[in-house]
Amino acid sequence: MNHSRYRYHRIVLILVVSVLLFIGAGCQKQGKPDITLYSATSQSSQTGQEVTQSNLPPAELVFYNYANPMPDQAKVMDEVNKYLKRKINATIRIITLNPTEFEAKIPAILASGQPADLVFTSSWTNNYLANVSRGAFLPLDHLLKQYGIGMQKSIPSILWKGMLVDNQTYAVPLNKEIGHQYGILMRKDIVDKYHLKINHIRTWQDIEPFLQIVHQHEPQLRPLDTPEMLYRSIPMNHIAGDWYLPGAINIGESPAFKRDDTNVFNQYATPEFKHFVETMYRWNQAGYLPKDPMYEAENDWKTGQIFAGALSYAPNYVYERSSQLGYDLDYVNIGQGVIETGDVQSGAFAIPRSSEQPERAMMFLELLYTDPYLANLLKHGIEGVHYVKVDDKHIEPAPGIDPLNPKYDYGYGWMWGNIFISYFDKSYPQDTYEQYEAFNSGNIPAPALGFNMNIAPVSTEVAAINNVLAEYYRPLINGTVNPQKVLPVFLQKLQSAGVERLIAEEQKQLDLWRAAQSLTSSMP
Amino acid sequence: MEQTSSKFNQLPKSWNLVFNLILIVLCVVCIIPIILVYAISFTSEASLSAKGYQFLPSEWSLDAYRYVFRNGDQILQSAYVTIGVTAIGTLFSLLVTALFSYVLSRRDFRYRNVMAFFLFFTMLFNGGLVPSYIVNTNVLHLADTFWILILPYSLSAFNVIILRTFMQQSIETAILEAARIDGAGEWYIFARIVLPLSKPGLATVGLFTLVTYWNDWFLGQLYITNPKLVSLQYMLMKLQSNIDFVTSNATSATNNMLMAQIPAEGARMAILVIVLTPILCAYPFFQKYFVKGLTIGGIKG
Repeated sequence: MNHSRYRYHRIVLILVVSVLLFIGAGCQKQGKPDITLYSATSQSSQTGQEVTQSNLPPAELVFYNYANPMPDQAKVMDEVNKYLKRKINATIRIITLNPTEFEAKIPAILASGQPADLVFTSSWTNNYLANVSRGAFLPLDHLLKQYGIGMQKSIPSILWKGMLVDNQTYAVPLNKEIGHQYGILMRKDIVDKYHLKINHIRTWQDIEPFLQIVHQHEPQLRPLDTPEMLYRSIPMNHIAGDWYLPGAINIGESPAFKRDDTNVFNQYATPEFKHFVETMYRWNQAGYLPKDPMYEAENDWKTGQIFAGALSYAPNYVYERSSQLGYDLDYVNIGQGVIETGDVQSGAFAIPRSSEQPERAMMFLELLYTDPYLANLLKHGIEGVHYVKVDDKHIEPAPGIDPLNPKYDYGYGWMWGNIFISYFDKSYPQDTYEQYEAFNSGNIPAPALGFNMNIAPVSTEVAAINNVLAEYYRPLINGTVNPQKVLPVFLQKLQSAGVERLIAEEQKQLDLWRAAQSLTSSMP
Repeated sequence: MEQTSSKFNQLPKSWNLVFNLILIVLCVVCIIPIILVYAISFTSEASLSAKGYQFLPSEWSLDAYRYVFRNGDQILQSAYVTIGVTAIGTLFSLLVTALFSYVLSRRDFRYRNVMAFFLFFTMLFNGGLVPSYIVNTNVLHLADTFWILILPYSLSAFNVIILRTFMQQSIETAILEAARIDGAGEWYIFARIVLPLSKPGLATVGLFTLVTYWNDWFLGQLYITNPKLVSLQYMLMKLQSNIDFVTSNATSATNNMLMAQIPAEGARMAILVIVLTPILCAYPFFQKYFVKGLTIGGIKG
């Protein structure tokens, strides 16, 4: 009798295990949608069928975007869906996630294969390259050819080039400012008071005499914010994709580095770096810099206790910053604006593998980038309810809307794709678009633009190097330690962490990439 | 004889004083930051940026609270969610934990070792975030439901160990056998003998669970998109994150003005106060059980 009870238990156990396995198998299949299925549907629509609303089955899209949720989100989404229904017979559920939510939810969503049709990706959050190499995104080239003609034209080719991975596009880049440019902000009242000739500033070193004057005559002011951005203004093309990692090449027109632009070098071992950290040490001793390398200056800016600070510039930044701080600022550019691969990948929309209607997602993107009505709806809300037009480019909050507590307004809305087809707040100058275009064309493309380093073969070295950087980089850059003693130790530690192997790997991959580039460009 | 034995376990007076002093210093070190948080939350943002943190603010202000309570409806809704999750979750979790702990504490339970193995194994090796996400969303379809805020925390291996140890030590097998002889069934024994005898243990584990459910924002962040199910902690966490986002992405004059007015620092502290106060008030009521209830290993009392 006891025997039969045992058998009964064993059967139950087997049943439970097999059910679990069955469930596991089922969810795995859901996690990776069948790729052949997907290309079959896209081929059928390639047969020249005219895409109109009537022959499109209804679809519902899910779009995860990196943005702050707004109080009137639901109201605007109703309008968006009414419009989309008419245009592409689809509705969309846009889920805006703020930074912490985005970083928590998106990896889980992508890894679990939950339905998602569009997702924000970039070099700084939800990493584009990592996702591509993991196979999380669909290749988009044939979809772009079919449904993204307008988008392909309106987005500069340099951005498309930067998205390429193995000659395939996996995401549609945001159309906004391209590249980075550094500059120095200064309190205008102080500049005027001492008649400082700030137009003479060309590079980071030229600011020293001004700091001296301020330090002498305005003892209550801190002459300079932390100098990290000053260092970054020295133009180089960083090969590893990560700004801090050793490995850079010269940018052709850069006056700072007189090296050829094919050899990867360790920027921390250059005389330029030595000169910079020595100068910073001197400045720190002289009292121009904060003593604490982790110094957080925002409060001192707000209360006007800092004379100058270096920063990464974007069009209209000066104007925005001074309206935010409540006093006037002067600005000069330093160094040359540069476009690197990471800049190009600063924001994009990808279609995850789990998407069940990639065609419709692409049609939505096409509308988002080319249709001013949709773009403005998503950026500023409903006309007459959330905003009213001032002229053909500018808007202001609708009557009855408290400008300090807007129900729906994403400002210039970089997170909604294309900034060039939408209105601006009336406080912006008439030539806002022109400023962006001038900025974009003023920055020079780095020699290795479009090159994406695969860090995997040297990941151990990179981890060790990152540890060394975390310990030494900021104290050196901020001049809080004596470079005579610390710089050699820093270089020595980089050496033993395997910096040479990293540089060699970078060089190898870069050479391969170059060879492939010249091959494709010489093809008819 | 009596004198010496009582002195045997006692410290000399001077040492007693030293230890008391150390304890007092520790208490002060713990309490002072909390007082500071309360003070900052009532300080005006302008004086915060001019003078920094102060115990006695030079300029009092309720702006931080006004900002946090600006979306009052959502706060109310979130408070309901949190209170509901905490109440239902704690009761449910206690029930499950007690059931599991009780069977593990019975030496005559046949699958005791198997169950204990499951418990320890999952405690030492867990599948990680993505597998549990897949199970919860794709298999159990719990995303955006009330139960996703409760089920993942309902059984904690650590709590089971505490309660099992407590039951093993404070409930004699003889009592259970006596009850059985008097005609009690298993459920009767559990409900009428084991549970009442385990009150201190249950209270301790209950407090742990209560705090876990009360403080949780992680489950919300991972699984909740429906605003009706956003818990208080998650809502405040979002609010903080939104402030950071707005302050780093000002893109128009109105935004900039808005930004200058956001009591960023004060709001952070006000959020802390709102979250902290109710649970601080709950602590003293558990104190008397706490002293008896916490036994993880070895013998106490």
